[in-house]
Amino acid sequence: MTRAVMAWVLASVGLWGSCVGAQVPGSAAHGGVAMPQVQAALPNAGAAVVAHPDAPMSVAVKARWDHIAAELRCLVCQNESLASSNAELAVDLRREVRSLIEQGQSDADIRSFLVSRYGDFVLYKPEVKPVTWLLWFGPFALLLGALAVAWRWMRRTPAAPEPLTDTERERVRQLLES
Amino acid sequence: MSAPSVNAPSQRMPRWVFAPLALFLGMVAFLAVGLTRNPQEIPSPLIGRPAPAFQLPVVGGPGVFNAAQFKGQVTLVNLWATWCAGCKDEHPILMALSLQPGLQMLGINYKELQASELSGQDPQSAEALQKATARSQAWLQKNGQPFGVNLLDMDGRVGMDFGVYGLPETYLVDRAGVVRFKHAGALTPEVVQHQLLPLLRSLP
Amino acid sequence: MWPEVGHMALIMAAWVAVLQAVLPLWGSLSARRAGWQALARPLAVLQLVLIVLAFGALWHAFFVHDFSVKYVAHHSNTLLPTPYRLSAIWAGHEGSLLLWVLMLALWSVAVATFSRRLPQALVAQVLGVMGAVSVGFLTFILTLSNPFARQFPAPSEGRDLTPLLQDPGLVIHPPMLYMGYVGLSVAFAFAMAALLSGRLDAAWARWARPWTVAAWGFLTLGIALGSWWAYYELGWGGWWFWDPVENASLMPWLVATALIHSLMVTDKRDQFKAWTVLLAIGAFSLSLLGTFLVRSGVLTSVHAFATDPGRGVFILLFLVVVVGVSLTLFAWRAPQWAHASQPVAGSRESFLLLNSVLLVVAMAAVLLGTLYPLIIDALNLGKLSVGPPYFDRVFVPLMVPLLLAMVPGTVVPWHVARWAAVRSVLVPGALALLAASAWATWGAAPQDAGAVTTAGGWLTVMGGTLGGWIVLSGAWQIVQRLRLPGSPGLAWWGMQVAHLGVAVLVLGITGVKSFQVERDVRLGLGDSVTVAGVRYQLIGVDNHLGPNYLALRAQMKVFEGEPGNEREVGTLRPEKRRYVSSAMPMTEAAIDRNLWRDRYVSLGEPLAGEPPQWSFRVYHKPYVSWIWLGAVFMVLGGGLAALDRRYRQAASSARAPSAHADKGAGVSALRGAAPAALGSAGVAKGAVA
Repeated sequence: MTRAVMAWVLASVGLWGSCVGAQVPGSAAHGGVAMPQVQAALPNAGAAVVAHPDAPMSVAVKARWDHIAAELRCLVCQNESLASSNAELAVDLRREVRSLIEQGQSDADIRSFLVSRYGDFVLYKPEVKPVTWLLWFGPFALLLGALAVAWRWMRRTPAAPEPLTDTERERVRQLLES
Repeated sequence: MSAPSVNAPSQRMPRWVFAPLALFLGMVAFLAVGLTRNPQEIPSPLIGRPAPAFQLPVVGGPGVFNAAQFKGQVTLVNLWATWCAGCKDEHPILMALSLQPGLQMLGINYKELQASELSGQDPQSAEALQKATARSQAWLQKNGQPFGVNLLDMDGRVGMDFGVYGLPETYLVDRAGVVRFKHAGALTPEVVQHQLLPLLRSLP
Repeated sequence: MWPEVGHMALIMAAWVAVLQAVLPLWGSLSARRAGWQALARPLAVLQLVLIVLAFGALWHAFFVHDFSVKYVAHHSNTLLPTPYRLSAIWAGHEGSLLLWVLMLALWSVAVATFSRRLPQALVAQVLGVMGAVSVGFLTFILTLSNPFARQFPAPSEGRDLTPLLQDPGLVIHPPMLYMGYVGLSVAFAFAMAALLSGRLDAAWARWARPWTVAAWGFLTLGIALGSWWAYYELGWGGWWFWDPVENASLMPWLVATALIHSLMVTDKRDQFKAWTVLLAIGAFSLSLLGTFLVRSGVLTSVHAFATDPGRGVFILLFLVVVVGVSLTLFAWRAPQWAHASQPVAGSRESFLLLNSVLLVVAMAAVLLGTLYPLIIDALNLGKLSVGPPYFDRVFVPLMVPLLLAMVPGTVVPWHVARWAAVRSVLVPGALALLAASAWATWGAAPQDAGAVTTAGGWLTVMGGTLGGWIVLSGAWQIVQRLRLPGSPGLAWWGMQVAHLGVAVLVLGITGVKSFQVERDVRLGLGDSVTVAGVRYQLIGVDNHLGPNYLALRAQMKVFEGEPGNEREVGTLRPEKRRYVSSAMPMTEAAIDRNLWRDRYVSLGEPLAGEPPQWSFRVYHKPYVSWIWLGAVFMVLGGGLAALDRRYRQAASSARAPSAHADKGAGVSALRGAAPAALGSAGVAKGAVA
C-alpha cells in the first residue's frame, strides 16, 4: 500500500514539477494552445517590414502577440495587462511590442527591451533568478516538506492513550452496564 | 516534533505549536513595512547606466539635437507637455533651476499632440510638428522658458526609451552621459533641496 | 436627521457589542457570574436591531439623495437608477464596512436562534467572540470610516457611482461574499470557544459543521458571482485575473474547504483536532487579511477601495490582536489534543489529510505570490510584479493531485486501508481517460478561414480525465448506494452534488481554455467575420441614450450553417457606454449564452478613416457556463449538507449514532464508538433542552 501511495505522490509531484518547469511557450497551463505553423513567414530582425500599426495583425503575429501580451503589465493601470488596458501609454507600448514582433525579435528580446526601460515591474511572470527562487520553488518545496511531515507523523508509533481518571472510569462502567 | 509526555499533557509545550504564531508575526512585519511603501512607484532601471541615444527636432530652431551632445556638461532632462497639470506646478522650480550654474536644462516636450487629437494622423507629419511647435512656444512664452534646449518627442518613442510612465518626469545626467537620478511626478522644493542639489554638488 | 440617528445607532451598537463580548465570556469562565451567559442571545439581537437601524438610515440617505452626507455624494447622483442607489451603499469603503458589521450581526443572531441544543457555555463563548470581532469593526467605523460624515454646504449633485459598479451582478456579489467572509467568524468563534474551555470533541465538531459549510457556501457563491460579473462586464471574456483582491477571497475559500473536510474527520473519528482548530483560525484570519489588503493600499488592484495608510494601520493592529491571541491560545492548548492516533495510509482519514495539505499549500502559494512584490520591496530588493502567468503555473499543478485524490477519498472506508475499493473505481477512471482523449482530439470548434483554431493538448486530456472521473465515479457511487436499504442523509447527497460541482467546474475551465476561439477584427457596415463556423455580420451602428449614459450600439446578425445554406439565429447588440460622470468608456459585451458555448462580442473604438469602421472582438467560448454551473452545484451541495438532520438532532439522541450513509458496504464496527460515547455522555450532561 505504502509503495503505491508513494508512487502516486511522486507521480503527482513530478507532474507538478514539469508544469512549473515547462518552458514551452503556449502549451503549459493554457490548455494546449497550438502554436501556428506559420513561423517561417516572419521577416528577419532588421528587415523592418512593419505593417501599419492600426492594421489587423497577421495570424502569426497575433499568435505571438497573444502569448506575450498577457505576460506584460500596464504600468499606469491598477493591475491590468498590456493587452487589455486602454491607457495611452499602454497603447504606445502595444504598438512598440507589435513592431518588435514584426521585426522578428524573440520573446526574450522583447522582454529585455521592456525591462531595460521599466524594470522587472513590467513582467507579470517574474524571471527565475536568485531573488525569485523563493517565489518559484517555495510552493514546491513547501509541498514536499508538508508531505514529508505528514508521512512521518503517520508512521510515528502511536502514543499510549492517557489513562482514564477515576471519574471517567466510573462513567465508562455506568455506560457499559446501562 | 516531540510529543509531550503522556502524564503531563499541557505542561511541556513542544516548539511546533509556536510555528503558526511565528509565521503570522513574520508576515505582519512585512505588511507593516509595506504600509510605508508606495506600490505604484517604479524605480528606474536607468540609474547608473548611460542615457538612451536619440535624435529629436529642436522646437522652433533648425535641425536636431543628438543625445551625444549631453556629454561634457551635467544635464537636467525634464519631460513635460502643455496638457500636463503637474508640469505647470513645477515650472517655477524649473525656472529657478535654470539659474543654477553648470547645469544644462534640456526639455523634452513629450507627445504634445495626444492620440485623441491626432485621430490617426501621423505624429511626424509637418502639420503635426508645426502645431506642436506653436503650442510649445506659446506656453513657454507665457510661463517662462527654463530650457536651454527644448525638443519635440512627437510619438513618445524617446520617452519610452527613458522609461517614462507619466508626466512630468525629471532626470539628471552627468558629464559622461550616465543617468544619476530620476524623479517621477512634479518636482517639489523638498526633492530639490534634499536630493537634486546635493547630488549636483557631488558630481565632478 | 436620519444620518445622525444612524450614527447614534452605531455608537450604541458598539457599546452593546462590548457587553456582548465581555459579559457572556466572563460568565462562561466564572462560576459566580454564570448567569451572564444568558445575556448573549438578547444582546446579539439588540445589536442586530441597532445595526439594521443604522443601515436603514444610510439607505434612506441614498434614497432621498441627501448629498450633505459625504459618502452619498461620493457614490451616487440624481440620475442613478434606484436599484443602484441600494448597492451604492456597499460601493465604497465606509459603507462596505457597515455591510460587514450587518452581516456579523445577522450571523450572530442566526447562531443565537439555531443553537437551542447547544450547551449554554458554548453558545455564550461563541457569541462573545463574535461580539469581540464586532467591537473591532464598529470601533474602526466610528473612528476612521464613518459613513455618516456630513459636509456643509451640501452639493446639489453627487459625483456618481463608478459606472463599472452599475450592474445587477454587483448588487448581489458583495453581500454574498461578505456573508461568506463573516460566516467564517462563526467557525473561528467555535474554535476560540474550544480553546478557552479546553473541550474539543466530536460533538463540538458536529455543532460547528453546518455553520462552516453554510459560510463556505456563501463564499463560493460570492466568488462565483464576482467571476461571472467580471466575465460579462469587463469586455475581455476573462473570468479570473489573480488580482490581489480576488486572491484575498480565494485564500479563505481554500482554507474553508480544508476546514469542512477536516471537521468531518473530527466529527466522525475524533481526530485532527488541533489541525481543525488551526484551520478555523486560519480561515477567518485570511478573511481579515483580505480586508486589510483591499483597504490599506499595500497592493495595487483594480478592486481596491480608496486607500489610506491610517486605516491600514488600524486593520493591521486588529489583525494582530485577533490572530495573535487565538494563535497564542492555540499554542497553549494544542499539545493536549495532539495525542490522537494517526491515520492509516490508504484510509479515508489519510486522504482527507492529503486534502488539507494540498489546499493549505495552495493557499500558501497564492499568499506568497500575492505578497511577494511587497516582500521584495520591503527588503529593498526592487520592484517586481507577480501576475497570472505565475499563478497559473503554480496553482494548477497543485490542484491536480487534489482532484486525483477526490475519487479514491470518497470510496475508501474510514480507519482501514482497502485498496479493493479504489480498484472498483478504476474502470470509470479509464473510461474518463478515453472520453477525455476523444474530446481533446475532436472537441475543437470548426476551423475558420484565415484563423488558427486551437486543438486540445495534454492539459485537455488531464482536465477531462479528472473531471470525467469524478462525474462517472459519483454516478457509480449513487447507483451503488441506492441499491442498499435505507436512504443516505442530506449530508451524503450534499457531498455528491458538491463534488459533481467541482468536476463540472474543472471540465468548464479545461474546455474553455482548450477550445476557445478569439478574433479581433475591424468591420464596416455590412462586413462579416466568421468565428468557429458562425458568421457575424454588422448591420448597423447607432447612438442610444440610457438613464445616465450615452451609448454607441452596434447591431450584429448571427448566421449558422454552410455558406449558401445559412439561417439567421439571432442578433447581438454590443455597446460602448459613456457615463455622465466618467471619462472612461464602459464596454457592454453582447453574449449569446447556452449550456454548451457562449458567443461573445465586444465593441471597441470607432476607427479613423473612410468608410467608417469599428473594431470588434468576437469570442467563441465553449463550456464557459460550466464554470458557474459547477459553482452553483457546489453551493447547492453545501446547502444540502448544512441542512442534514443529523446536525439538528437533540444532544441526547446523539449517543446512538444513526446509520448515516457511508460509502461501500461492510464498514468496520470499530468506528470509534467508544470515544464518541464518552463525548456524548459529556454532552448529555451539559445540554440545554
